[in-house]
Amino acid sequence: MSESIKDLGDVPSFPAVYAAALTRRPGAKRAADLPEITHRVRSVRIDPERAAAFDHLMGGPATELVHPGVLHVLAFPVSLSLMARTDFPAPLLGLVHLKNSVLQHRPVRVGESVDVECRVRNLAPHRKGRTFEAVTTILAKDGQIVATDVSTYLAKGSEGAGPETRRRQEQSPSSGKYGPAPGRSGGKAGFTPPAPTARWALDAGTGRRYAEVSGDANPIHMSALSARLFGFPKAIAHGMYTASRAFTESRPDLSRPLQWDVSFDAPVLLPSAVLVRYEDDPVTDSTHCVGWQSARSGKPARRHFTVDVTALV
Amino acid sequence: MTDTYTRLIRTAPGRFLAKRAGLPNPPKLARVDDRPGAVLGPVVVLGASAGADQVAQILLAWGADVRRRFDGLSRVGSVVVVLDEIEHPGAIGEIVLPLAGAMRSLAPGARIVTISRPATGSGESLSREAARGGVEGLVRSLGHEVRKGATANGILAADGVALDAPGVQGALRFLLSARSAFIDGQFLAVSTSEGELPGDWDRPLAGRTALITGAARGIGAAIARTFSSLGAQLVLLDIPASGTDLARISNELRATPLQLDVTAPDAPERVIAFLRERGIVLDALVLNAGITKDKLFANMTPERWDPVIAVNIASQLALVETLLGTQGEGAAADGSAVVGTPVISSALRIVSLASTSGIAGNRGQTNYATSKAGVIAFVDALADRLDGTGMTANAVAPGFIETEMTARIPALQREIARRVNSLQQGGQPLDVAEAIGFLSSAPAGGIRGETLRVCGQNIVGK
Amino acid sequence: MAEAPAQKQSPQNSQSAKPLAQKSLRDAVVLGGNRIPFARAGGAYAGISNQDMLTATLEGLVARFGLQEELVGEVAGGAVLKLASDLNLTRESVLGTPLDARTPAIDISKACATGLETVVHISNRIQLGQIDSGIACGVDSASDSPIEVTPRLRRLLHRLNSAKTALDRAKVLTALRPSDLAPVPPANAEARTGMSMGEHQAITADAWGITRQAQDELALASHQNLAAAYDRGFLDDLVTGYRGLGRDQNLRADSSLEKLGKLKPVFGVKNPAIAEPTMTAGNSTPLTDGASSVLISTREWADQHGFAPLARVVDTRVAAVDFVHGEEGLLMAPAYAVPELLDANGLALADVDLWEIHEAFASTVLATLAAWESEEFCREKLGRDGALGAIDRATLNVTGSSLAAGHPFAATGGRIVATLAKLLHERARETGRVQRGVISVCAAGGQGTVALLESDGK
Repeated sequence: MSESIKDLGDVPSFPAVYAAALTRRPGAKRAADLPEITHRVRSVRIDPERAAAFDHLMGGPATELVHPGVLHVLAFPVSLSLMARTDFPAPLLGLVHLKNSVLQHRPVRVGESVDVECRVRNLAPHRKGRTFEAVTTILAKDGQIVATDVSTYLAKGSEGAGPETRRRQEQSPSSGKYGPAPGRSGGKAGFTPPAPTARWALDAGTGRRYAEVSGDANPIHMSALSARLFGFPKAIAHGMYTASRAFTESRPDLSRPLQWDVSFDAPVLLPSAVLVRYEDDPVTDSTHCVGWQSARSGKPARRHFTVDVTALV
Repeated sequence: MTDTYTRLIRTAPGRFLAKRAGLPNPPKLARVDDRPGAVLGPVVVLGASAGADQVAQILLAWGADVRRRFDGLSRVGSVVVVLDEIEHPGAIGEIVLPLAGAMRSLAPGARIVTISRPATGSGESLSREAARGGVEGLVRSLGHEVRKGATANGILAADGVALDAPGVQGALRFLLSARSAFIDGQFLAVSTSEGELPGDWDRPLAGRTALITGAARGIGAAIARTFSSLGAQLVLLDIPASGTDLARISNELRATPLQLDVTAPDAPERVIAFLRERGIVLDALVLNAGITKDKLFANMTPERWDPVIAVNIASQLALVETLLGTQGEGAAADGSAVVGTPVISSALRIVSLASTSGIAGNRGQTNYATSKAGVIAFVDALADRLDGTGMTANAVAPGFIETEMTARIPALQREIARRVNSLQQGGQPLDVAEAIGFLSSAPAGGIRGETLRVCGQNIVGK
Repeated sequence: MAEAPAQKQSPQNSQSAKPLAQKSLRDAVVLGGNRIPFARAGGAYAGISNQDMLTATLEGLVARFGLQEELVGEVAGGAVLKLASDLNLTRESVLGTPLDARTPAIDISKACATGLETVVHISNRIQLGQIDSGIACGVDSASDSPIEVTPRLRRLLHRLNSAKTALDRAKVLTALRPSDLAPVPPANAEARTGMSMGEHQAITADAWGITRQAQDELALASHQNLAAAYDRGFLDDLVTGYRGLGRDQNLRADSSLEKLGKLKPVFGVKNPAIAEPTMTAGNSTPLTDGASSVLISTREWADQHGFAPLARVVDTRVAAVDFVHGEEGLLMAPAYAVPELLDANGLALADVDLWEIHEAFASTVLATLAAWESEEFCREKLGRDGALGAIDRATLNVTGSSLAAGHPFAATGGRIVATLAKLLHERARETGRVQRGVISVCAAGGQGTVALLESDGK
């Protein structure tokens, strides 16, 4: 099938996308399949000041070479605009970010202008609903692909969720709707925390500060009050904040092609202390990072995320 | 550092109010910075003895405006009454009465100094004893009567001590000068002709080295400053906790600081080791370190009693005994240059700090008075021990002195304490320092075992 | 300086065509030191600034050595917790002392190694012939540490400052949130790991199997050794009392293993991987206020001024470890730097007569010693043939160290250098033999500075 491309004049603003999603006509029909359309924005400049603010928030020095998290947040509104379409098979609000994988072929410099293309693919059944991938391609002026960012989302719903799964969920309320990620041993049972090498003290303003540099002002991240409106007991940290911080702290060589894989488990409720362990593997030139909440008052330790950063050449 | 009442009284309305209410009107005392000259002129020398002539010659040599009579003087700066040869109380009036008519002509801060012989207690001549003893009553009464910061004091030159002996000259110059501003109604006894005249009367401690204990603050710091201005090289000692204050005054005076708790068992040895290491030989030792821990005796505890005794007198005994013990030590057997080298000179002047509380006692100060009375007896005995060595020991007994320590006395009690003397005010630490400076100087060699009160003629005791 | 001033010759002179002669190195000798007693944070020096303490310490040094109006070659100082207004802390302090007001000064910073680095700086300058005399010093106040504004408020204020119109300014101000106004105290954590130094050390202690008993024993020895040093008057000419303190406020002469044993662990308790936390307030240094200084010069300068050198600064080394991902313990850098220092000077562990290993924590000292005794560590990490060996514990911190005295970060180096110099001098006099001492100081950021001193003078 030939791909259709919709060129957006500029990167959409988050509030506009969220507003559109919130004010969707209730009766509007959702398609059964993912839209076969690419949203594209041409010649987006990577603002050096914003890139520096991002680096600083992650605890690293502002570099000339762009943190791949910056590419992610740069493209995020574009893919959101795709997912906020009225005929999109799943509602935007309530999507759960399960995984994220960035393959960066060459370093990107601050101030560089890139094209951003977003598409969605691989709608698949999942025991808690359906998953799909939002794929972002970052292209240089010469058309060369610079980076690919694949985000896997879970749209919760009955489809694909067997009765057995549902019963298990009901029996363990602690896991809740943002409980253990499917297909992983983390989150609750089976996770044995290693010795930490770092500790993140994340205060209640963590979400607001990330929103400021990323633009992602999703109410579930902004404050306990706004998060409660959407069914969360407290504000939760942006998954890509924890992933980006782990990326910075893994001390990658940004001048080399690299792979950045993230898997999210239990969300990080704010404020909280996240224990983190880094393991460098000199053989594969990679750093493995895991973040978790320590066991307390009878509750077992819960894994929040695992991050792998691998230099490719 | 003037107290509030004194500042008030110096304003015109304050003076008026005080006069109407009959309140004390304390005069401003001139110190050496206000009156650097040795003698406030004109100085009238009374007396017809050879000694009187000798004294007049000395005063002339000091550049003073010397007169032998009050004739025609509308203003008199100083009066020296020479009574060295009186044999009968009846002889006093003839010499001293001319002063009566001149009392109202005395300048502010005027000085009256008598020079007489001390009563000996000998039965040889009853009239001479009575005459000599009578001078004491004369001087002490004059002390009470003189006004505007004037003082009256006496010199008691022992029989056989010429009136130009270094001790007499030194005492005379000290008592006439502004350095004795807060000494009133007192006697300085010159018992021998020992001592030397200084090369420079204004820097009598030049070339001399002094160790001052308790030197970081208060009277000790004032002693250090005065000694420095008199030309002395200084080793300043205080407890480690006062180290930075000690360092600061040491820097100010280019002195050598020595942090030490004088009550430590090995304190004397540490002092000696310190002096030897630096090759310092002491010409003067000022035992100033002292503390108070006042409490009515009914509430007295060992915690309040023992430290006062330990610091104020026991430490002095230990240090002096050990220092004197080094005399006669030769070079060490192994020929080492360090061990056994002398640390005190053969003309050492020891001056200790007593107190009027040690003379008259004081409510709430049983511990302090015990220690200070002990000091008075200690220097007397020490002078006896030092007889013939060229070394001396004396004490100074301050009355109410305006210091950090006395600033902690309750306000009313403090106000009374500072008014009950002839000068109607508290003294300054400088006043105590000047007295010690004089007793540490070369001319004071004939003054031995004395306790000189610096109290503005406080009504307590003698 | 003594060398012929070749530079002053006119450019026309044929000499100028020749390369200038290389100057030979000169000895830098420690003449003595001075410090104020160290006070517990919020204790005797509450309300006292770094400049107050540093000035007092320098005043004490000037008084001890009679340096009034002396033009010293340079004063190098520093503080770890430093107020922005203290940018010229050392020079400002110098101006408050009786030293010649033309005495130059420099501020140096390297966390807990700041003090030792100032000694390195002054010694290097002297050895290179740039100065003849210098004072190395350091100060820190945990009671008056800087409190900053939030980064967001800082950015807003900068924007406000550069706003040109009232409207622009109003726009900036509307962005202000109440939470922006909350003050930010200095972080007590490693920037890259978020873990405090104690938490890091707890991991190291656990990894090396350092027992609670061994740590408490080391802490007790520190207190007993320092108390004994005070009692015998060893510190009489090293410490100048300040604000009513005559001895270090943290010193517990009456400490005992029983008392230390009763304390609850405070570090490592949050780390689930540590089964039995061992680090208590008793075997870790408390936050402390204080300042120290050291007088260093050439032999000639010492001679001219009538001072006897105590010890020569022979050599120094620095090292750092990668602790960020847990490769090595945060405070283990000296374990690498000391062997390098010894090798460079042809010495074995046993050739060192006195050891001064900074007691950031009792377990820091013990882990360092354990590493040198470890065949595995010495082979794999140091690349040696075998273990360095064990030091004679009777030669370690013989007059106590930071556990007893306290640890005002930048003041610790000066305390140790002056102490060791005096000890070496004293021992050399007693034994008639040259004495050597090694100083080891660990620092935040996985750093370490070490130095070798040798007794000097008669």
